[in-house]
Amino acid sequence: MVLLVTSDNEQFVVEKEVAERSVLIKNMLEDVGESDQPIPLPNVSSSVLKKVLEYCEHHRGEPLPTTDPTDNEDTRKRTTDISEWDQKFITVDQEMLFEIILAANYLDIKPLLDVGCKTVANMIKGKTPEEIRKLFNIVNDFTPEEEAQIKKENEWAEDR
Amino acid sequence: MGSSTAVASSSRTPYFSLASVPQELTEHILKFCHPRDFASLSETCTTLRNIVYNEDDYIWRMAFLMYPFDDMRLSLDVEAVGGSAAKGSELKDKMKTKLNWRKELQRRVFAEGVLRRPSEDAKLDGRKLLKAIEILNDAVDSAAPAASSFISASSRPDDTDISYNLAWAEDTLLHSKVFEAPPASVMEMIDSDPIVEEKLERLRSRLRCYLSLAHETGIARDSEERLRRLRIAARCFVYDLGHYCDQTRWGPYKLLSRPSNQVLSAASGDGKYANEVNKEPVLVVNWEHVEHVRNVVYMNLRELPGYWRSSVVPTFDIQATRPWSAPGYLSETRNPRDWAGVEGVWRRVVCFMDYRDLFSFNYTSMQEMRLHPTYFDGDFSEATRVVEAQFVFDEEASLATELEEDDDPSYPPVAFSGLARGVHLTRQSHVRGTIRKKKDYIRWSFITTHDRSQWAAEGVQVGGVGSAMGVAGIWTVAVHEEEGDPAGPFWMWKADQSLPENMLVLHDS
Repeated sequence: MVLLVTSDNEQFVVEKEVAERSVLIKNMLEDVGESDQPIPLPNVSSSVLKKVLEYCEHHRGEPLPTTDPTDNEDTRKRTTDISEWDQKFITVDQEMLFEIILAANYLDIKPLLDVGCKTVANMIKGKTPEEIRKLFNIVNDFTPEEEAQIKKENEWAEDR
Repeated sequence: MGSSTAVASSSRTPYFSLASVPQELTEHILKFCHPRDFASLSETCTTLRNIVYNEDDYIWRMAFLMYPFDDMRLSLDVEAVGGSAAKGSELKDKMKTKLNWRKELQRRVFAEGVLRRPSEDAKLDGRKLLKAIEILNDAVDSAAPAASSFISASSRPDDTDISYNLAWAEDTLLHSKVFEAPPASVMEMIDSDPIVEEKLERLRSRLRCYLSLAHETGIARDSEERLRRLRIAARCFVYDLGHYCDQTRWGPYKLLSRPSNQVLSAASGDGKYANEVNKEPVLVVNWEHVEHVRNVVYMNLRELPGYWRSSVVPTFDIQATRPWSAPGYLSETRNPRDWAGVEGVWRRVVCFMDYRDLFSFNYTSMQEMRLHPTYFDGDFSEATRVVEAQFVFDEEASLATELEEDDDPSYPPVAFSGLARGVHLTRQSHVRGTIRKKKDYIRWSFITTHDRSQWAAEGVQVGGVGSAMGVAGIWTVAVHEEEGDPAGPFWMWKADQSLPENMLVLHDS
């Protein structure tokens, strides 16, 4: 068993196999060796860790990706397909979605990071700039001149 | 990443914003986005704009490769292979630095957008369409070379070894009106600028020729009907002796009344071409002709008995236009100077009309019946001969062959000789020929000597250097006295092995 401590000081007791879905934790455990020392995760809150562990629990035992699949020639095609379970799992509010992405990045859980990023990509897909701004709470900070300039740079994407 | 890029601020107004996650994560998200979404994202705010239009081409290269398209670095191998190894790698390094992943991806997304437009949107700018077709042609020309040769001309060794460029071009064409024949429906959509139209039609026919019958099953009734009509059109075209004269080399070529490379690019609409008209006419490949040649040969082969069909059927798979895909091309025994991959066994199929038929189709005294499609109605059939040829690369003769003005100097001419044996022929005929790489096509010309008769052949490679699709063209007599000399289509492709002896003896069409 592994003891994880979140930023808000909550403790999680997790099976080693589950915790090791995180490459960060896996490496830490390898460095420290057998120990009862708690592992502090100062960048992850308890609500997010709970969610992340749910993912790790479900995917326990699956082979860890050894290389970046996007660099792999055979599976090079861009895909935003997400498995059914993952899809349900990632149906969360936007704040949680980005928290999960940040946590997956920090904890180095590549498949979870991809699920999160694919979800964001799917949200963006086919939307106008204004729709994207609204969706992600982005403030338009362009001057009218800049806006005209960038529209010109994007002429290649006009025909659709 | 580029130093000019602002690092996303961590200010977290109400909740996370896409613009406030670390840049590396935004880039990771972009890996799953369609390039078109890049454009929308870049229009939302400065931070995202700087990530998308970064000095570093990383996300564009990723998006290019994952679209997926062939790695442009692999395509350079084909351009580099013609010269000596040292020269080749030098050339390659030079070209690598010029690769512009962003621009090329934008071009292809643009082309796809133009060509895949829903058909009810009938107003299409001819220049845009031309530009899109040019981009499609460029993508086809820069298909990465095959990593494994076709086992035979009709079967790919490995379904994973495909050219993404060709798969994309095929898919885009099939979803575009441009692929339809006859082209009338396309022509109605565009401006009536004759220069744009001419070039558009030329590039379009080349793409059509590459795909041709790939998507006809010939089984469904509508497909059968289309094939019937295509067959008549193809026969009318290839047996129209008006296409054959000295000016067209008695082959699948046509004369253009102005230099094709000086036709203004569709992108710059400044009308610069006006004073280029009336220059010396230039000879260009008539890809429509080549398509008809292949269609005639293929549809005649379809009617051969089953065991023949299975061993002598060529392919329409666009992947077979890939450079280096011909059987044995990648073999270590190939002389590197034989860049065309001529040495080895070839399967050549020759079709011809009885000369009296050919003559009456062309010159019947009933004016209105000349070249009339009804000639081929009903159960008309011409002769089809399968010839087995064994070609040898002639290094000495190759070195002695002079470079023509429009030859690609990094691919010096290849001379070859060999023996050919047809089913009905008791004696072998001798073949001598040359292969020349021109700017945008590969020309095959050879003379076949049989007893005291001599025949000439003019063909073009369908696809890149060493393509499995082979060479299609026109045979005719070697010495011409006048127009009206007999001519007919042929298609030949590299074979992995000789035909079994009994097939050469038994067949009678």
